[in-house]
Amino acid sequence: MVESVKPNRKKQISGVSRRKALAGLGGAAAGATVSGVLPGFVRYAQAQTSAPIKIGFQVHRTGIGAAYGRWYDRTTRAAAQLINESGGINGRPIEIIAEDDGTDPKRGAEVVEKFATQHGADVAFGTLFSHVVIGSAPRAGELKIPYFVVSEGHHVASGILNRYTLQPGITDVKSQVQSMAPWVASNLGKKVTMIYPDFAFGHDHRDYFSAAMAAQGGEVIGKIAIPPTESSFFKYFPKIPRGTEVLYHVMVGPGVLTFVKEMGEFFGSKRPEIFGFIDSLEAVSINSPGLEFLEGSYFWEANPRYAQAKSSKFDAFYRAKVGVDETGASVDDPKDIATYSHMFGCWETLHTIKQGMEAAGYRGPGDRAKLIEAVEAIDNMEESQAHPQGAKIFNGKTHQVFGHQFISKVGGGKLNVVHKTSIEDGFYKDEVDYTSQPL
Amino acid sequence: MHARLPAAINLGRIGAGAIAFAFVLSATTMGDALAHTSQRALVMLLPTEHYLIGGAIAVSFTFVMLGVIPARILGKVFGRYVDVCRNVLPNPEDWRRHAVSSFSFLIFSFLIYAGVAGSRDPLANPLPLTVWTLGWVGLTLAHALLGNLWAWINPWSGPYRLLSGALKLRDKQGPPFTLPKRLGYLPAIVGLSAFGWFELVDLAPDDPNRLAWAAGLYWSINFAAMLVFGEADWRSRGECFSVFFRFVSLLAPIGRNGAGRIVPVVPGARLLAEPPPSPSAVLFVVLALATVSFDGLNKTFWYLDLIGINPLAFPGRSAVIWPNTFGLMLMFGAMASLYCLCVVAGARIAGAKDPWAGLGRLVLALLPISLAYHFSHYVTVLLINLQYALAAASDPLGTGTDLLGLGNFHVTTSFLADHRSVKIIWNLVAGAIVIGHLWAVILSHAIAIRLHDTPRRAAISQVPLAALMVAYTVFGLWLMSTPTGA
Repeated sequence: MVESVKPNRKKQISGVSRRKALAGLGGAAAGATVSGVLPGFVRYAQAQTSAPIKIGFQVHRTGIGAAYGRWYDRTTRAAAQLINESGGINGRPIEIIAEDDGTDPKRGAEVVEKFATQHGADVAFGTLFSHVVIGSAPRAGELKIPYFVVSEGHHVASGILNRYTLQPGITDVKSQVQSMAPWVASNLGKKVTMIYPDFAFGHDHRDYFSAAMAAQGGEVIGKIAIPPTESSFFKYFPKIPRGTEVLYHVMVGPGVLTFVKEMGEFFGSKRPEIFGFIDSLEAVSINSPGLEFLEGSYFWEANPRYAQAKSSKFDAFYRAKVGVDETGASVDDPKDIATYSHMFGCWETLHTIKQGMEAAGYRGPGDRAKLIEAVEAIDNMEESQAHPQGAKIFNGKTHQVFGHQFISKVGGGKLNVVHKTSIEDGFYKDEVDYTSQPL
Repeated sequence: MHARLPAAINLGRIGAGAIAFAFVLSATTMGDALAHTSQRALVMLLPTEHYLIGGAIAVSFTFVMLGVIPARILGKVFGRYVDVCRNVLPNPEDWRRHAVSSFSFLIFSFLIYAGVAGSRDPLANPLPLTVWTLGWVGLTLAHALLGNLWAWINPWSGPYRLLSGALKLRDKQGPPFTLPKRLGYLPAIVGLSAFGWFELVDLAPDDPNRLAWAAGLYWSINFAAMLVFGEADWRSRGECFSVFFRFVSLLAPIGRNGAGRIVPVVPGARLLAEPPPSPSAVLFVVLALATVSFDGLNKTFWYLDLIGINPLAFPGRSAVIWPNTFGLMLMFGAMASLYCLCVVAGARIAGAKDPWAGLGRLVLALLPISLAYHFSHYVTVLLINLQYALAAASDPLGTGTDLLGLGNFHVTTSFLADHRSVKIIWNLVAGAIVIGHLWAVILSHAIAIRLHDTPRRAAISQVPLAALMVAYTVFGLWLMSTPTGA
């Protein structure tokens, strides 16, 4: 049974959290370095090395993750530039060292090793695809280099990785899927049929959502698994049980548009409510041909692609810095749609690394263990320029962050947010306590 | 029930439309590779199966028409160029060539340095962008348009001239050793195989440092071989890009006449002026086509399913090193066998005295197909990576400089996610495939006329090879439209 629990509380040092104290000190020193005021702090800053803090950026430049990698790179560079313009970390600039992992786990492990042994990177960061994370994390643990992933995978919180692997910038799929159930059950219907690709990704959705719907008094009455090699879907639609109120789809890959088109042709104007995950259409215009059928359907989004009337000033700031317009497209090319529901994770993770390093008084690789402890001690993250997607709560035991999710309805060629979940909607029982592992 | 796509389109109209489309194409762009999901997703919405049928009809129809057109007309079209100078290499003593090559060597050296010392990001470092995009993709297309540029811009000729002169290796007796004739093109075949494997199978061919070592090693081995066997012989049969680019340059619409002057020629006519390629040269040409064909097949759902890989969760290159190694070898073996089978069977049907005689000459007709695949397969990569190359040129060592004043430059790939541009790209890709095969059918017929004593026998001898080309047209169009997952 899914159970909501509060993540651990932060560790306090002498009444005032060490993080807060050092963050203030570091922040002031950083400001002083830039502005030249506060001579005392300038001396402090100058006493430190001015060598940059090296962030090893494990990026999917080639391979199947390349489309995401381009936006992860762009967001990372924008965040790094902002951090440096604001005085860097502990008065030191940060340097992004990008290495292509080819979206390959073996290569990923090699890249992590290069960060630690060749480039002298302080941390490794930025991995998206789960199999690369799972392939790379053991090496990060062996080399004791903090490995900050931006992957969405449940692998971190599931406990299969290690103390040096953290996911503080993006929620995991288990939390995302589970937090959809209350609203879906209350607003769309309690009888759900799921259509998903027949492999681990689809199975996770099936299992997490089925459990979450049961907890809401709903039921998944149909589970239609589509073989990954399928390119036409007509034969599967007749399997949708009568009485289905909601169709939950989470197809991915090149067949997505064909799937939606054929679904539209199958149902015509008479159809159940339709709910999907934006992963299917990340970086794809919602106005692409064949997607007309999605008008009036719903999508999960981690971060609303289209700027909303209620969007925060922090979201506007983030869009401006990364170069994304109000429709979620590049300001340089309105047809270049961003991977908006994922890439904020890079931005927020870099800011969390900064927060952790400042809390730990991080000076170099010798302080890596302190950095891990400092990040584990973080709990509440306020909605801010550092966290433009929204407030979050980090669970130091499971190394996983929890945050708000969004449900958007397609209308007028846009995605319009109709619901924002509470952070607690995504909580589940801890499956691991990484803090019990030695550093 | 709900019919798939506008099924009411009648086949007659499709065939005529596709034939017309194949001929109407003017020029421009591209295909796949870095292509992400949305491009193939949009291509899958197009009625691509109609193009497959139309392409097959267009190539078949062309073949039939060739049988009807009097041989003398083809002879007239191509024959007047037979005297085009065969020596596509400029004068070996031309100092300008050595100067250009020396400059090229300096650029090459800088790129190697950048590979080791510059950005670790393969899309920010100029070495991988130059080798894979400007070189392998761009230079190949440039050779088909402008002729043998490699004779000038290769990074060996200049340094060879300097060093061999200093070491007195170029005396009247020639180089120290003679490259054995019996080896034929074997050294080039080994080189191209190694290159193909590195490109398609190796774990990280884009990694700047890894590529710097590989390129440096390749340059060194070939330079040493030139010092031992002489530049002319080694670049004719040993250095695989010299061989490949020279073959591709035979397709260029320009050539040199007897006086050494550059003159326009019918594209492909220079192939007819070539001496018959040796058996090892035949294998080299087939290997080039097999390599680029496999670099497409290995990403399809069909292939991934065949080797037990879930195409929606491609596990990365490290998981498919052996299947892809064998796949590449198998592709080469299958294509070489099919080609030989079709040529020999055709010659036997036509009653030729020596059924093996046409193997050499006819392989040259595969070059337009090879070029078409190259264009179709890599042109989207070219469009994307040229943008990265521009950014890398502005900051070649990843130090934050902006030599070209690009400012906050962002690469876009939106043309792969927009249905209108994807449709244009698909039409160009499909058009290139069809035109490449039409070109091949015409050339092979023109070659066959020279091989057989009567036009009728020539036409009959071409039936199996033409059937193969029709099948390969369909295969090529399928390759560019089927779902991919790697």
